[in-house]
Amino acid sequence: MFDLFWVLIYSLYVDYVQDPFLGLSKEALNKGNCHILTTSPPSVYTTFLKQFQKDFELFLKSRSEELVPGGAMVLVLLVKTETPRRSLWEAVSITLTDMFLEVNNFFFINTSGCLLELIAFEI
Amino acid sequence: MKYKAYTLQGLVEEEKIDSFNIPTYEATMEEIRHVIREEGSFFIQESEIVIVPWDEGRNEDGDEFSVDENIRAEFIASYARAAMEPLLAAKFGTKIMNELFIRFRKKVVELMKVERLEYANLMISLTKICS
Repeated sequence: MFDLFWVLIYSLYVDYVQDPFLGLSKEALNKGNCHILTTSPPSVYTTFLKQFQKDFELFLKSRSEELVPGGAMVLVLLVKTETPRRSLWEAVSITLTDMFLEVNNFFFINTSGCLLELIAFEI
Repeated sequence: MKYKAYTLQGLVEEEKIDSFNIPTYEATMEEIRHVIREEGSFFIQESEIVIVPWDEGRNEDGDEFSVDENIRAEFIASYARAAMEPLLAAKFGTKIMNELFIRFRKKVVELMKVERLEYANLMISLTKICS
């Protein structure tokens, strides 16, 4: 049993391995992205929030079993405030999507055109 | 067919993007309070939000505008890579990691020109309730 914990949490998804879809449907609510974007529909926010609630609750429960009554812990975690801020992971997701789109556009030109057209496009 | 094969070994596949979500969530203070209240083992002693730029710690004199954007973005890309590479490589393959983080660095430079890139960190002190 401990009196004090210092914990730095930047990622709380303990359940992630069992559910990499985060419960998103096969049609992929978050289609074309790997994270919440400022343009994401509310359903994507709700899905991430539900997962957070589940995991954070389990985290608190587990720590409370390890602490003596009156024991304390300090958590440091990334939060959202009233000022809108882009998250680092949104920027990673945008980069991945750009890479996909680039390849995909190239693919369309490639299959519909002949080699000469392709070369002309590249030049 | 030859060209097709070439493009298909492409950088990132759509199915992989759709089936992958980076497992982080930035909750609001209210969402955090709510979970703490519902779970019921702890009460909040004190809490404070600290705003720090994405490249905090890079420049000791603290003047964030004095340094080249490319250098700042390189710093950000290197810690983002340290944190995320294992997860991303498992999904998208190790081959594209260099390319991904080069592009990510460029993206950060672009973003820096139009917005302030910073984190909101919550420091929260919790005490276990004596029952």
